[in-house]
Amino acid sequence: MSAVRLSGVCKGFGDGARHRRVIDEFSLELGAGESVALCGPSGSGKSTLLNLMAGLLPVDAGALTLRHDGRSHDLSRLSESERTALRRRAVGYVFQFFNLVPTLTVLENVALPLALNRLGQRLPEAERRLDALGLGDRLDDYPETLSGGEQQRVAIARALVHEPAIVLADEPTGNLDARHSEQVADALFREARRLGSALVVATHSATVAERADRIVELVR
Amino acid sequence: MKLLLRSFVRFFAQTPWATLTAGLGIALGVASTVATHMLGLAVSDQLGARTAPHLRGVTHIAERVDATMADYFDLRREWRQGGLPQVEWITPIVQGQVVESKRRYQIIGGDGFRLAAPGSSGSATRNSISVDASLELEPGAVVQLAGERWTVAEVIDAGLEDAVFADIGDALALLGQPVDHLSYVALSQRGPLKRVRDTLERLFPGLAAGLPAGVERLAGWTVRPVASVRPEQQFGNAVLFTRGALGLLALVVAWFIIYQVCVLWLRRQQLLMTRLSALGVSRRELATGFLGAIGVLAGAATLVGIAGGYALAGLLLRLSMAGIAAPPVLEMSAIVLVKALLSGFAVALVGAGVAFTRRAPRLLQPRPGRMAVRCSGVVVGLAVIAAGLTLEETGLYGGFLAALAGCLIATSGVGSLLRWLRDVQERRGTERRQPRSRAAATTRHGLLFRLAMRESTWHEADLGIAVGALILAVGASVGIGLMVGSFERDFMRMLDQRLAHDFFLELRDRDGAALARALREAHPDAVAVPLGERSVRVQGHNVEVGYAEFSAAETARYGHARALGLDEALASEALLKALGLSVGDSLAVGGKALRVVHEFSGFGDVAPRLLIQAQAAAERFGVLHYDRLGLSGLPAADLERWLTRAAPDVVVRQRAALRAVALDVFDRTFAITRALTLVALIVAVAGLYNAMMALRLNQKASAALLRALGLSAGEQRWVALMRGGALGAFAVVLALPLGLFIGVVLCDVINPRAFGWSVALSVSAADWALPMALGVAAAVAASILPVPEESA
Repeated sequence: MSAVRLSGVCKGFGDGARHRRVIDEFSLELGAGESVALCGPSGSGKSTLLNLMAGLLPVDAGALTLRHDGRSHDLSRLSESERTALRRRAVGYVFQFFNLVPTLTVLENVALPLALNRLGQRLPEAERRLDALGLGDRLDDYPETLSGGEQQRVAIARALVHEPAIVLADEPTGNLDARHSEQVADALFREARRLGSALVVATHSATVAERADRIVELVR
Repeated sequence: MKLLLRSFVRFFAQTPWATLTAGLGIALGVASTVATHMLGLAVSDQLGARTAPHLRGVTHIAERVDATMADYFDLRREWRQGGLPQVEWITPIVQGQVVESKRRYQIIGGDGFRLAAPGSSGSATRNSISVDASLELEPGAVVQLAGERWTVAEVIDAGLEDAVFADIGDALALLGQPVDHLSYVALSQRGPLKRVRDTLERLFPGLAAGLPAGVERLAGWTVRPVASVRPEQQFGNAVLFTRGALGLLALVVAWFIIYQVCVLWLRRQQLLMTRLSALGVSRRELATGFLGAIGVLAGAATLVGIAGGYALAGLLLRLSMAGIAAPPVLEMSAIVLVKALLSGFAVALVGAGVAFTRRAPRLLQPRPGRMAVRCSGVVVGLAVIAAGLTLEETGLYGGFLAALAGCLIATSGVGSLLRWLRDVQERRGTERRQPRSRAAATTRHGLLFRLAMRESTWHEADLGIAVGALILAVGASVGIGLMVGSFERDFMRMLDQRLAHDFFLELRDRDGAALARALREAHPDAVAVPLGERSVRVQGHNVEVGYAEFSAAETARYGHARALGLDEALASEALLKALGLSVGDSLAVGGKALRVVHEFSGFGDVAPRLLIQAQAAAERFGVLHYDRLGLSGLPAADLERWLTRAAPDVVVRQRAALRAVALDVFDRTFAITRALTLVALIVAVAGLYNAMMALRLNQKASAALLRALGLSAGEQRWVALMRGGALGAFAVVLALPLGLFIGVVLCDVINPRAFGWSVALSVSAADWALPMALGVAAAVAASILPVPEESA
């Protein structure tokens, strides 16, 4: 059973003559624990695809289904608030920049999805995962005191703490040097696989893309 | 350079909503400046027009015991020979009272040219007089005084009841005084202080009234400010000064907001500037472009503010002067325009320059506070407060500077306090790993609440100034509300005492004592108390001496428990203050001593008052004239019937009607005060909305992240609401002590110094709860009001 299925999905921006279709008849199917890397030049629609899968943007045409709690949810038929509720439960997101809430500590950032999903009892497990990611001594620090690599590892922990059906990562290593890129990519793929979450990574990095089960090349 | 300026101006055009609200902040600031100036000027002009003719341009009076015209001519000779360089001119004045046909007249004599009304030709001529409008005579009317017929040449609305103005020779004849009699010498001061006063008056109408009069020294003479012979002018000046000071407060709030607008714009253009800087644009060019764009925005907003201020002034004037026959006229003077331009345009440019200098060098991050400078400022502020409150000589300025220093201390600490709160939160986060803290992090509302609280302390650079302005506006609103509320309660208590009689009869030319006797004969159960008063000079001050049969019931109207003895007197607080006396002290009136046995509040009395037994007054002044009658114990219908028969021209005023009129006057007096406070609050709210909007625009990435994490729109609004509530609570918590401080200063320092009466501060929830609730509501509204996408 697919964790996420996109079938003939279309998405465009702008009105009238300025309308431009960014995603055109895109289809993809991804099972639980599988990973896919979305590659392609800037403007090819990688981030838009991630936003569609997260329910942050509505699809213009086609079907986009997320499987969560044993049920399939067609995002194209859900309202904004329903998409938000599903995203909260079933999606984990990692951005390139500005990944953490600056006014929450490391632990609080990771606890946020748990709190939103009323899964507070999993906090000790989250602490253990953070410890395993080498952040055990930074739990009460604020994001501004962390390095870029540390911030991304916290973001990965946060994206996976509520065991989502799908993890979306938008250029997770785009802002890091080679050594930190390795660490972050390792953590991301390892943790997603461990939890059985489907992973979609939008990236320009060939080394990150190679770690994925599949690579999808997008063109402009 | 043109291209650079164009990029900055286009930034405004691309963010119309943000530009609109920023412009609105400046326009509101300018509008409040213009409105307060025009109101002050209008009221000042109206009071100035009512100055008695013999005191026009007079700054001081000089007196000496048994002064004669010869003394005046000696003084004049010395002045002409250059011995009195500080005196611009001098003129002799005679003053006294005569009773003619049972009517009292105040006779005032001076130089005929000076007595002529401005704009009229020539001087007062022989056997012609000018009269105050209160005498209800028409020009050309003939009055019989001192056995002669006098023609009324002019009617002047000088606000001096029963006053007759005549050339000095005629006045002496009317008073029956010898030709060398002299009451006092009026003089006009010149020199730097006068220039300062004139300039200040032009810039801030009303504020000059609080300047010390600058007592002159003339050998052998006692010199006093003119207010000692014209207490109503002092009263008017005090009203003007408080209004002027309030206008200054609105101006300070407006300047805060305008500066804040500049800081916010600078922060919003951080990215643009960074990019331009990377392209090689110099710091000077960046500053010029930024200042030029702010100048364009401020110029347009200033024009809107001027129009808005004019409309606001008209509205406030109508509000406070409803029912007044000749309300003051609003005039748009060049000074108003200059002040508006200064407030809007210049302050915006200076603010922008300061903001650029302070924040641009470090990627627009606020410079760490210079603790030594801040501490020095606080110490200076505390010294100003201590001096202003304890040194009586500092006058109204001392009181208001103390209040202003309190405001500035309270607001200047906002940024530091927010930073401290943030540090405390960070320390709690890093130093203590508390189980409870962890537990809170696992509940949705607990974590979101924590997020909102941190958001409210995290951005002091964006919010500090706006929150400071809100504290200032709410604090002033609370302080003024406390003063007005306390005053109202004291005033009501005084009204309840004073209006003990059912009716008050205005007797016109009738003999009050005879009328009271006739009334008692016709209605033995009725209590009729004739009341009279006359103006007397006591230790150089004009004092209204009231006389009546002061039984225990009558003295109870002034809060005293027993009948007055012949050598006893009740004194108003203003009198004791003016003469430096206390209860138990004695003073000489009419050559005989009186012991003050009780002090009473005289709210609304423009002159110091002394109340004595009628017999004691007769011993001092001879024949007494009663112009009012207090009456109780008689039904209205019976009184009406009796008056129709016995005294049809007597005017009857009922207690309820008098009370209603008094309260109406009270409400009208404070209408402008309340309205100006509200304007300051609105300006602060607009500023806060501006700041919150900028903050939300700067936090778009943060909002997008929360949305991606699954926070619903409702939860994001909840966080914003909590953040606004926390900021509002923070502001009102600081505003409350500030408001209490302002209330105490107004009640115990400003009122006694301005009007001679103190107000017992009574803290009622209604006086402080409303402004505080408004402050919190404003902060919450500013947090959750929509920010259009186009502002991004």
